[in-house]
Amino acid sequence: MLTKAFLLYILNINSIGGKNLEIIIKNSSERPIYEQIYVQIKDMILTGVLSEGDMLPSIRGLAKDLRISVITTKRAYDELERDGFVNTVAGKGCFVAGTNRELIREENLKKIEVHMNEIRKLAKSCGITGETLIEMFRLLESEE
Amino acid sequence: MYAIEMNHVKKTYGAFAMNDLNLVLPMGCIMGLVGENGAGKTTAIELLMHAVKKEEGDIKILGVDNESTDFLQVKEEVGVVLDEPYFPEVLNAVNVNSIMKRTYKNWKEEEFFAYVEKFHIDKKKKFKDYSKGMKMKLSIAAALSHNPKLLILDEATSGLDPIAREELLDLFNEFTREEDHSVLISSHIISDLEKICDYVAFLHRGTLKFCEEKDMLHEIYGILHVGMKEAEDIPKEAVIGVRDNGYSREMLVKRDLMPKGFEVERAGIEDIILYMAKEGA
Amino acid sequence: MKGLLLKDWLTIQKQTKIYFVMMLVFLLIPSMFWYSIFLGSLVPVTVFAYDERSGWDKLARVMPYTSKEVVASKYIFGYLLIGGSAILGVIIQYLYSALRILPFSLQDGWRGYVILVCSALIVVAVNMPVMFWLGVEKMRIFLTFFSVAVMMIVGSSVSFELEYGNINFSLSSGVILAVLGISLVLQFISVKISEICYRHNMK
Repeated sequence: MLTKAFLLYILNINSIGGKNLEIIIKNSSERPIYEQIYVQIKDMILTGVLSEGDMLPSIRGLAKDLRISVITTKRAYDELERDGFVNTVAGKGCFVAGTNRELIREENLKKIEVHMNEIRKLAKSCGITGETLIEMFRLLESEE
Repeated sequence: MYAIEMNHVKKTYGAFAMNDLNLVLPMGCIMGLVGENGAGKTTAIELLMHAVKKEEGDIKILGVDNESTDFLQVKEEVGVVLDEPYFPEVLNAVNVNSIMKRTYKNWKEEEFFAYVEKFHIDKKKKFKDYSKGMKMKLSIAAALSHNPKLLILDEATSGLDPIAREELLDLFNEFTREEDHSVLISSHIISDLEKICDYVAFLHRGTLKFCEEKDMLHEIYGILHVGMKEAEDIPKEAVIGVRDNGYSREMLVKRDLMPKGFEVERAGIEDIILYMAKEGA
Repeated sequence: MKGLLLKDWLTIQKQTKIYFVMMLVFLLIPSMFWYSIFLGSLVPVTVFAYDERSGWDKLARVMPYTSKEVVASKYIFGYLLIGGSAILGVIIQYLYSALRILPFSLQDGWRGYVILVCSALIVVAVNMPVMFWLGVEKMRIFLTFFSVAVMMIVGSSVSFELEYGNINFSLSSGVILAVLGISLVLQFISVKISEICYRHNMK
């Protein structure tokens, strides 16, 4: 009886609207598990793998399938909701929120900032000036 | 709503003392109870089911005080597996079914025999001729076959081979797919608990050292390897436990109290418990 | 409760078939039929010992049984065996008298029978609280000694009377009814004490 329920579960929920939901949990990772889920679902939303209105697996279902803690899964969903990526409809489930371009822009800006910081540190460590960096960037742009 | 609530529970047996035990298991979760032999795991479980009398405090199971008359009804909804097999030796699985059918109002005969089959238990064999694992499995089958909302398992996976243990862990994991199903499982096989639990409670010599969300443990604690000299720079309050090997020092530390710049590694639950048990000695 | 009785029955029937063989043999021997009535009073003690050994007594405390049920089931199990063997005893005695092996008539013998059954009941009433209080393990010698002593004293004297069809049984009907009354009252008191023992016996 249990196995049957389990199979149905995989068929219904693991693929959302024909899209395959892939979440990989690395127990050895330094990154907390809730963050791993958060990032992977967020990335799927931002890259368009998941689109507006798609239903996410239930917290309990996902936790049991991945054999991770329910609380951790809930935490990931809570953060996704707090950051506006998903909406929870009481009694129905959790749905991907409307794509907010502003939001994506914000996200990407943050990423760029992180990368630029890396570049700045690297450049500093070998004495490359800001001007040189800008030049390098212009060169890259013109090559495109 | 909580599946289990223990508040300020006290119990003493001669030299053994359990003082001020506070344990809360939210509905829908799995809690692992770990601790060395004699730490009080079995006592805690017996206290929960009112099989032994507490001296102080209060205990609620599925929201009902376990000394009230309503607790009889709650017992119908709790599946218990004790640490030692307990069916009369001469009985077989068929006998166990007929007895349980007259014991639990919600006894599901087909479900019981489905588990018996699934666990490859010989229905006609006497209980005393079962292997330790078989005895445990029959007990688990009985505990699962009366529509329980809460499973209380004392060392239910010890004495089983890794494949059988995995099979049972899967079963308990599936059991909590229902939102109002909860599990309390005690074990000294920490890796088993690490696989399925939402919460881990660590009992050491009658004292609850922590009762924490499993994944939070990894966020709170970490392992640090440093040289002896470097070790002096680490604030004392960050250090939970220390192990010297003569060349370097390994420590269990609280991540949030650590100064920046140290590379803190992930601490397994086993590490956390071993360090704490050693310090608490 | 039914579950507990069934468990006791299955356990005793499988674990010690010899008990029933013995009871039957005693029933068939005219001068020893009363042994089986007393054996009936000892069976619950044996079942209790098996419960302790298998750990069932611990399990019973986590299952939906009231302490009343746990205690009552043991008494009822004892009563069933005592009653069963007394009835079988009467039937067999009648058969013997019909076959002209021995003279028997309940009209003459009822006093002796009531005394036998009452003594077995008193054995139950004394043994049970001790058993629920201290357990069989510690008290086995006492329990057995007490039962056997009562059995020897009452059983042998009463059976002597019954066997020879002595109509003028030394006790009057009034006294015998009083004994019956007392043993029934004792049951009631004993059950209550056992319940208290069982509840307080919780570690």
